[in-house]
Amino acid sequence: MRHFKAVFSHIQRTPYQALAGIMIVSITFFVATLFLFLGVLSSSMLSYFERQPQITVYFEDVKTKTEIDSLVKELKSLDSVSSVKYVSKDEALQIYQEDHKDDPLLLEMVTADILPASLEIQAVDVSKLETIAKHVQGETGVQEIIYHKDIVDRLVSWTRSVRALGGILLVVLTIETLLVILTIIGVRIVNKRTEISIMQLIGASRWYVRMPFVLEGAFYGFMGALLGFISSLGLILHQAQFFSGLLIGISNLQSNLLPGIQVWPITGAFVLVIFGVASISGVLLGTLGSLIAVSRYLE
Amino acid sequence: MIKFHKVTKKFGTGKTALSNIDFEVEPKEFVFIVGPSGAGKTTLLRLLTKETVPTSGEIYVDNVKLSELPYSKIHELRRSIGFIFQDFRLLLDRTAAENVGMPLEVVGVAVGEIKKKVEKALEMVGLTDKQHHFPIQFSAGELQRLSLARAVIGDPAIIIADEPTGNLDPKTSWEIIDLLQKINEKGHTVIVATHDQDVVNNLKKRVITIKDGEIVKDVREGKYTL
Repeated sequence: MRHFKAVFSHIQRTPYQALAGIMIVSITFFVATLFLFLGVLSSSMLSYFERQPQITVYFEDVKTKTEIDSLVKELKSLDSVSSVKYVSKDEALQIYQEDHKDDPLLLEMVTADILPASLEIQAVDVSKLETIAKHVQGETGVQEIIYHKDIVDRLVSWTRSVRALGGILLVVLTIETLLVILTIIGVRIVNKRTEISIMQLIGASRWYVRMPFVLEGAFYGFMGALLGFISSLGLILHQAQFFSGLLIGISNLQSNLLPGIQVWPITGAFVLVIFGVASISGVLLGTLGSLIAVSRYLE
Repeated sequence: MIKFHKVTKKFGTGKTALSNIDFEVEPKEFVFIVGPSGAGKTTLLRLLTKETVPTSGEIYVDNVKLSELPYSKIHELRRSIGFIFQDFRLLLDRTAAENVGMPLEVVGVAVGEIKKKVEKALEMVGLTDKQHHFPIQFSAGELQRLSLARAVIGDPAIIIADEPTGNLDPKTSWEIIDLLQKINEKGHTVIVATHDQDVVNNLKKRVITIKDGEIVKDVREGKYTL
């Protein structure tokens, strides 16, 4: 309790130093938690598509229902296919309407006529997708074949980019944060040199002297992590529609890394996990910065 | 209780601050350490609290060999010693009561217990009515009394005073010396480094005289002579 009182007295006496420390940490944690959210989302999406080996075949209007039915029959007979689902133009419109229910302008412009009928073909596993695609390519009246390999490839590259960019930014910002905390706590120690020497002479242990400085660093870390987390969560919730668009029709995305936790639409459990990771990392980072400072500036 | 055995201290500059210091202090003794400025009195006291270490020789406090005392245990040694300095070394942003209670605070004594002991210590030095004042509101004599209360509150076996009357007028100096004598009568070992000829000559206590880093005299009921 005495140590906490000392920390708050430090902060009260030099509020601008404290504010600078917290703000620098919060920038780091804004980036860190944003990339953590995006990283978990992209990784979960990747896993979702990897678990669902699917090809979607879009037909030109000339292709009749009878021709499509015969193709369905043929596909179902293949060992590499586990199921085939026909999506008519009307069903395609219904899906489109569901996906864009919040955007009346887009709904007005589209009718069932301009949407193609399609087949959703589930393969027994991802390696069979290419064989099935080749089989369907030979058919007449096929407008486009989209198979999840494309999506998976795009997601892999996207996930890699998120990780690389996030990783570089995090390393730079973490070093910067450590240096800022080290400097703030270092200045604090130098300013309190007389008080520290008196405390040491009257029998204060090393940790008794160090503890308020270490706790101060941990406090900056926690507060910075909290502010950074709130900002990044706010940004993601504000841009929820954009993220829903990226999820290509997946209504409930479960995390592959956190079993049983739904990551989109965002749930309280997912937010708590991110907050937990951020706050623990913040406290650790702040503590590390101040520990370096006390070992550097305190004899 | 305290033993210096062939202690020599040389500074990095090559200057010898203390040379071949050899003496013992028994429990409950009152000892003056006298000598001209730069003789090595303060260095001797700093060696006793391991603020600095000897170049050669051994120092023992309560049978503890200081050279074998690890850095992490120095606070335990210092808890057995109470300090009084010429410049008081009080924390200006803490009240009198907070300053006096600090030695108990750092060892984790309960707040209620600290309050009781602080009141007793302040009563001993006659500053009870000023316990909520800050050091800036005190005279030099009062500051030294405050510093004395802080030195004794943890009931240490040894009290060390480095020029405790250096900043005080003769009357106030005697008040401080009287208090130190009372503390000594209660069973504390008291070591006072001083220039105050009048005090040393009147008290007739043991006097160790240091000159150019060497002990030149060690007299049981000594006088101030250089």
